[in-house]
Amino acid sequence: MTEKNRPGPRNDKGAKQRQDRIGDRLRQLYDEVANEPVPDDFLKLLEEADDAADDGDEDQKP
Amino acid sequence: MSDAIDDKAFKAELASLIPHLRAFARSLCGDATLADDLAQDAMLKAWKARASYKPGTNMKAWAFTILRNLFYSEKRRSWRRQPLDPEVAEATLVANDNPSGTMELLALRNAINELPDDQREALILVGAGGLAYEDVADICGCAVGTIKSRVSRARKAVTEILDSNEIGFSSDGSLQGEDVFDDLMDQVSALSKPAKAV
Repeated sequence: MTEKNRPGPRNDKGAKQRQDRIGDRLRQLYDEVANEPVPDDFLKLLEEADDAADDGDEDQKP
Repeated sequence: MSDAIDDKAFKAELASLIPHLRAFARSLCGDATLADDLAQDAMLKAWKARASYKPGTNMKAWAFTILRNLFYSEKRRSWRRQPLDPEVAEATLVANDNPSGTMELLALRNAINELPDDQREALILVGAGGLAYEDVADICGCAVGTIKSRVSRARKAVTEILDSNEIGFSSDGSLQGEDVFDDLMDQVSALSKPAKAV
């Protein structure tokens, strides 16, 4: 518990700053996943699906 | 081949969206493994549905719609009712070299988890996914004004949750939302320096 600068009643500026900070952290949560290397099985599955389309093409309508 | 973009171009663009599919799925599911299952299913479904994609439209929004429909139609929403595992959550965040930043993220994740589904997805898509309100309205099948309202309520709710709740994940269970925000404010200047970014 710190004594400093406790934002007692919410003033507009403080509220805006808080919202901005939440926004930054929200993007950080998302970006942490988005910036992970894509697991190999994703691209492997996509290639397999593409190969299957080349062979049979049962899924795609003309 | 008709007027659709060819398969090769479609596949390349879809592959480029995989990180976003994973991130959106993670925000819906909470659990990383289940989220990747969902993201893979969505990717494959998008591939199969490629003939219905309209070239020139936002493929990210289109693919997110597929992912979201999968999530809700298969009742995977129950997945996120599982309590978050603090150790898992911690482990996913240790890469962050800022301990108090890690705590803030855990607190925020916890707060987001308490939101109603409709508010959570609107907040994630607009606030983190980089989508326009119009795209999010399409994804969620509702009016733009509804999305704006949900985002607004979600922001307010998250702020209140962070203010009122103890942060259950942390080793210091007494830490309050306001303390987190004191830390947050302390870091504003640090984070705004370009060198510290990334």
